[in-house]
Amino acid sequence: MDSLNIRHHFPIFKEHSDMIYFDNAATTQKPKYVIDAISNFYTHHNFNVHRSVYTHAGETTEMFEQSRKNIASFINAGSAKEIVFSAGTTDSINLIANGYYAKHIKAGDEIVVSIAEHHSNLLPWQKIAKNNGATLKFIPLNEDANLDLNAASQIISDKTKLVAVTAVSNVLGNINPIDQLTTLAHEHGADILVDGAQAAPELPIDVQKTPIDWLAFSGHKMMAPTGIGVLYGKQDLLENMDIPRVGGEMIESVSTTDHKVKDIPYRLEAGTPNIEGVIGLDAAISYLKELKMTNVQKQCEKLGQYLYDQLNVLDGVSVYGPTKRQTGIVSFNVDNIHPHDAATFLDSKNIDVRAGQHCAEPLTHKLGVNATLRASLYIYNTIEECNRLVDCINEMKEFFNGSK
Amino acid sequence: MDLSNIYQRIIMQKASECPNNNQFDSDVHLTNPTCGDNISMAADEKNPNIENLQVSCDGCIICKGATQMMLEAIQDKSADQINELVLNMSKMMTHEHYNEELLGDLVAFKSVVHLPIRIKCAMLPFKAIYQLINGDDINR
Repeated sequence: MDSLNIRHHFPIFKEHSDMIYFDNAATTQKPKYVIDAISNFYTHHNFNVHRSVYTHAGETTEMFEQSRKNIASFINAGSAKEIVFSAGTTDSINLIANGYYAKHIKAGDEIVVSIAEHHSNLLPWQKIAKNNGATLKFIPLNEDANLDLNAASQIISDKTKLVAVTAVSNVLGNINPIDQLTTLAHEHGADILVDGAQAAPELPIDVQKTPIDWLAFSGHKMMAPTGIGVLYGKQDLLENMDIPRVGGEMIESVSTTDHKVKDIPYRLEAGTPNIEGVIGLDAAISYLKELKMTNVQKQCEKLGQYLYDQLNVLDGVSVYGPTKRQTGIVSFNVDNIHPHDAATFLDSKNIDVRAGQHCAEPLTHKLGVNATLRASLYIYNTIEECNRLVDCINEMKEFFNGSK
Repeated sequence: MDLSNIYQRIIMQKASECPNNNQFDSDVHLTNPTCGDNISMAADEKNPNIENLQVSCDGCIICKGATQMMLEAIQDKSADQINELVLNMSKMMTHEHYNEELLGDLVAFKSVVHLPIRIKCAMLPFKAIYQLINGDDINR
């Protein structure tokens, strides 16, 4: 894959030609293809969906529902009915927690997460565990900083009702063994929910080959707009979800005292949906399909490994996570330089990296630090940009510590 | 952006002198949740004068430098005078008119206003001392 060629598809890199953008785990840049799709929607197809008989609205409804089918096919869902639109990963997981597990988790039940979860796949389960008298258990990391599968097989038991794990750690960048965890969960009669926020942009996903029960991901981390996300759920689970919101669009019929709701997924999507977001997500997915997800994964892994190897040989730099890299996410620290100071220094060199706890405070503390720097690379980043970061880290050491 | 205006020698020096032992029960503990800066404070008496103040701070240079320089600036000051200092520091960070003389060396943090995301690093110790004295947040 040719990063330099891909960069031409992104207007923001023309606007900020000197910028090194290494904060893709926070949000990705948008290709012209996606921006044009949204512009095209507002220029030619801005009509509400599902409620009007006129031709224009019918066409937009068709585009909208075709997008749902394309998104279903992107993750190989059995049916487009299993795709519910949400505002993003956090929204999807909250919908699942409040709409399904709030009533299915009983006192004494156990929910299992990993120590490396983003807060959005931790806090909803903390809340359910507290409210329902259940126990929240944590799968630790092994010595290689990968999820400890042996420990997982001890922790997941017949008491477990749900295993909720991320497919890719947003701090360490490793891919979790979702295949094995799915088998383990199902052997004990538990469901498995996968936080796909970091996986959907980089890895091929097949929810039938790895028969997970729930998947949540966000559009904006995979080149689509903000405010659109996906909640995938197996049909029987979605059908047993409490309806999160009632109102327009989600009903078959309404009397003065009662109403009859539509089938899934519509009854879970009250109100006018984020049509622009859905159209944008569909465009992002067809852009990714054009590139091929296997190529995207290879490119991110190659960049992540290159940056890891470069940083790992620097004096006074600690890189976190496994030595064998699988994604473009690399977290590190420089001795005696607080990540916030480092990020300000790199900002002065026009390099955008994240500093802090990355919404994963328990993991940050587990690593024995208060915060880390994170460079998260994506398909349009280059080896030259990695080299420039390394040069700037050397300059930074001189600036703050007086030595390279 | 000229980094040497932000990371002035005095700030970098004072940051290296900032106390970080955390061996006491804190009356006030504040953090910047996005970055992990944190500060703890305790005192036997708080008003009208602070007695036996204990402080521990762990964070970035801006936060640690501000903590140490604040500790030096509040020596022998009454609670009212410290409140006045906090108010002026806050005004400096929000581009309002402030008393430069009263802030003294703390004027070194003036350039932090150009880095909005770092203002909370510089203000953390000032918020903490204000809470210690007044029991609530500075209402600005």
